[in-house]
Amino acid sequence: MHSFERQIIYLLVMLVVSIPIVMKQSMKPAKMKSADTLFQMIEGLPVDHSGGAPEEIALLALDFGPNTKAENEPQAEVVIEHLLRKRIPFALLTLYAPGEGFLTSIPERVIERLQKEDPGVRYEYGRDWVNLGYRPGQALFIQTLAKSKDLRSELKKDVFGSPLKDIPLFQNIKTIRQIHFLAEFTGLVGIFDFYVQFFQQDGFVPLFGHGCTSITIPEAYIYLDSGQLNGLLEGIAGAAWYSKLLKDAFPKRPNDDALVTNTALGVAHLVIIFLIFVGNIREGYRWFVESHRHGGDAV
Amino acid sequence: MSWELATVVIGGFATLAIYSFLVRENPFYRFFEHLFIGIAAGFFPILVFKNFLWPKVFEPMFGFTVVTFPDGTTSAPYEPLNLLFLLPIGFGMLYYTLYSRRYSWLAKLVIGFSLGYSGGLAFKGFFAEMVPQLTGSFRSLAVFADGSFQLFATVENWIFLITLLSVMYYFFFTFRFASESAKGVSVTGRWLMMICFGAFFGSTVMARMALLVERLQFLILDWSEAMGSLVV
Amino acid sequence: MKSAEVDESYRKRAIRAVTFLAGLYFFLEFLLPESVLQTLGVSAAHSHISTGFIVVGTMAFGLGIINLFRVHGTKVVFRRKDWAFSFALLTGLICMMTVTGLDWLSGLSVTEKNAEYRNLGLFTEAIVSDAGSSPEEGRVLPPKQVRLAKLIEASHRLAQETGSSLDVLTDALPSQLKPEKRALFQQFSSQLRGRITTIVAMTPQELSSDEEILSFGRYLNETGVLYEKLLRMDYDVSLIKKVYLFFFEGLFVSLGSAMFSLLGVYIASAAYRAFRIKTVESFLMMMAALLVMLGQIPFYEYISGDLPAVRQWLLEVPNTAAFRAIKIGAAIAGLVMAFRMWFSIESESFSQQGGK
Repeated sequence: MHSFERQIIYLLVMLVVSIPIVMKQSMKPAKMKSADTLFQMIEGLPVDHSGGAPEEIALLALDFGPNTKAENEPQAEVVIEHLLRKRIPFALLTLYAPGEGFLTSIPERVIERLQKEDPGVRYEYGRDWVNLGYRPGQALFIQTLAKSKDLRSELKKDVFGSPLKDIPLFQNIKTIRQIHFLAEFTGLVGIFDFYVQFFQQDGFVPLFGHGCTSITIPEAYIYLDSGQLNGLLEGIAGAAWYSKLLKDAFPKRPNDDALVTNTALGVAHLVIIFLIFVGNIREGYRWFVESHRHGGDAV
Repeated sequence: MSWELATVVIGGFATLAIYSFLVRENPFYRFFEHLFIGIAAGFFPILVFKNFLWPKVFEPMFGFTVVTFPDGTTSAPYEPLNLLFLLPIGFGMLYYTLYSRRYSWLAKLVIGFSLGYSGGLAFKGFFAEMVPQLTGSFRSLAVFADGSFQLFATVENWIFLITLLSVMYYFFFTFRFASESAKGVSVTGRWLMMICFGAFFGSTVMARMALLVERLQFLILDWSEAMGSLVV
Repeated sequence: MKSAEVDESYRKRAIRAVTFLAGLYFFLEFLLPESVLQTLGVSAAHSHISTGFIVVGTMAFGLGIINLFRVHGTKVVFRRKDWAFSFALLTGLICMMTVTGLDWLSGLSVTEKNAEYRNLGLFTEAIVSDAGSSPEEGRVLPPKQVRLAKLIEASHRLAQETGSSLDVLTDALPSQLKPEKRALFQQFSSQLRGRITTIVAMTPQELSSDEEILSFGRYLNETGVLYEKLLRMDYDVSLIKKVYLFFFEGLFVSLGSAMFSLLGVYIASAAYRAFRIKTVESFLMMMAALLVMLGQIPFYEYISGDLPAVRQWLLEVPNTAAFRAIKIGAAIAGLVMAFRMWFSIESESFSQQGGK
C-alpha cells in the first residue's frame, strides 16, 4: 500500500472519530454484565456510620501510566466516585511508578465534581481516603503485604511522608483481612497476576474487582469464571456502563465524559468494520481481475 | 501565561509532535520522543527513594525514627539490627561492577539472585493462580436445576469442555498427530481458538481506539480551548 | 588445571549457589506449614527479609541512568550525529529528577511541621509511661515536673512559630485558592488560631494528672494535623507543584498517551490491509470479532438488541475455555522455566561467561 493511501486512512479515522467529540454526542452504552456485578458488589459493601476510625477499608491499586490512561482512568474515576458517595474509606497505591501522579489527580478531580454537585458535602484526606503512593517490589511487595500482621508498620507512611499510625483511616487496620474490597486497574497482565497469586492470607481473599484494558478482556474472563475475580470493568465500555449505573442511582449526577468517549469509540469501531469490509472487497475485486486475466491468457 | 495553561498548551504541542510521525519521521517528533524517554527515566529513581528506600531503609538505619524529646531523652534506643540493611545494599551495589572488566562477574551474583527468588516465588504463584482455574474447569455434563434438565446450560458446558480440551490438545507439540481423529481434534482446536482470537481482536480494536479517542478529546476540547484563551 | 579455569569454576559455582539460595527461601516459605515458620522465627522476620530482597532490586535503578548518561552524554560531548536529541533526553532526565526531588522535599517539609507536634504528643505519652515504671538500666530520666516544664516550653515555642507562619499564610494564600478551598482555609485557620491561643496559655500546673497530660498530647497531635492541612493547601498552589505537574501531565502523560495512541490509527490501517477472509479460520475469527465489536458499542441497538448478550456468551464460553487452555499451557511452561532458572539450568550460558 502506498504511503499516501495509508495517510488517507489515518486522516479518515481521525476525522470521523472527531465528529461525536466535537458535537459532544453521547448515546446509551451497551450493557456490561460484569460491570453490573461490580456495581452491586460496591453497593453491598458495609458502611460505617459511627464516624470513628473504620474497621474495614477498600484498597485501590491504580497500576497504570499514560499508555493505558485512556481506559483505566475513567474506570478508576467511577469506582472512586462510587466509594466516595457511599462513604466507604479507601487507600490508593500503585505498583507502577508512572501511576503515582494519578493517585493524587483522580480523587481530587472526583471530589471537585462531587462538591460542585452538592456544595455542602465534605471529603477529608486521611478519613475518606489515603494515598500510599508508588510501592516498588511488585510480587515481593504484594506477598509481604498479604502476610503482614501490622499493615501500618509494613507500609510506614503515606505519599506525603505522614506515618500511617497518625492517619485516622488506618487506626484500626492491621491486616489485609480488614480490606473488604480490592480493586485493581491496569493494562499490565503481569501485575494483575501478582494480586491473584499473592493477595490472600490463610484462605482469606477480599472481594476483587478489576478494571482491565480492552485488550486484556478475554484473559480477564477466565478469572471471572473461576471466581478469582468478582467484578470487572471492560475498558471504556465498562466505565461508560458503570457511569450510567451511577447516574441511575444518583439522579442529580451530571453526565461525565465517559459517555461521549464511548460514543466516539463506537464510531471508531464502525470505521474499523468499514475498513475491513472495503479491504476485503478490494482484495476480492483484485482476485477476480487476476483470475480472469489468467483465464484469458490460457485461452 | 499561568502554569496550568502552559501545561495544557505544551501537552497539545507534544501530542501533535508525536502525531507528526504519521506523515513521516521528522526532527520535531524525534525531539519530543527523546524528551519523553528522559522524563520517564528521571522520576523513577526519586520515587523509589521517596516511597521506599527513605522511609523503610535509610530513616530507621540512620536512626531518624528515634525522636529526641525537649528534655534530651529519646523515644526509644537506637536499633542496631537496622544496620543489617547494609547487607542487601552492599550486595545490590554489586550491580555496578558491570562497569569493571575484572569484577563484572560479581554483578552476575545479583542477577542470579533476582532470577532465583523470582523462580522460588513462581511456585507459590502457580498453585494460587492455577488451582482455581483447574477446578473451575470441571463442569457438569448434564445440568439439572429444580429437578428439570437444562438443555442450554448442558450444551454450553459441552462447548466449554470441547473447546478447552481441543485447544489444549492443539498445543501438544511433542506428539505427532498420527491418526485422522487426532488431526480432527487438533483442527477443531484451531477453529475454536480462532473464535477466541476473534474476540481478542474485537477487544484490541476497542483498546487501541480508546487511546486515540482520549487524545483527540484532549486536543479538541482542552487544548483548543487553551489555545483560544491564548489568542483572545 | 590452570588457575584461570579454577577461578572460572569457582565463580560459576558461586553464582549457582546464590541463585539457588535466593529461590530456596521463598520455596520453603511456601512449602513449610505456618507453625514451623513461626518456630523458626521466619514469620516474624519475613517482612524484613522481603524488604531486603526488594532493596537488592532497587539498587539497580542507577544502572539505567548511568547508561543513558554514558550513551547520550558521549554524543553530546563529542557533538556526534543527532547530539541535539541526546541533549533533549538528558535535559528531560535532569529536569524531571530535579523537579521530582524538589517536590518531594517540599512535601516533606510540610509533614515535618506536623511531626514536631506529633513528637510532643509522643513526649506526653513518654512522660506518663516513664513515671509509672522504673527506668531501664543506664537510662537517667529527669523528674516528671522538669519534663512537664520542658514540654510546655517547647509547646509554647512551637505554637508561636505556627502563629507567625499562619500570619504569612493568611496574607498570601487565600487569593490563590479556589472559592471552596478558600472557605475551608478560613475555617481551618480560625480553628488553628484558637488552638495556638490555648497552647500558649497552658502552664505545667494544669497538667496535674496523667489523663490531663495525655489529653494535652492528643490536643497537640490534632493541632499538628490541622496545621499540616493548611500547609498542604499552600503546597498545592506552590510553584514547585505547578512545575512538577507541567512536566508530569504536560509532557510525560501527553507524550506517553500520544505515543501509544498511534496504535489506534495503525490498527485501522492494518484492518484495511491485512484482515483478509481467505480460510475457514479467518472467517471464524472475523465473525467472532464482528460480533464482539458490535456487541460492545452503543450502535448495537440499530442492528439487534441481542448483540451485547451474544458478545457476552462468546466471551464467557468459547473465549474463556480457549483462553484457559492457553493460560494453563503457558503457566506450566512458566513453572518449568522458573524451575530451570532456580537451578541455573536456563542460565547455563550466562554463568559460563562469568568474568569474561
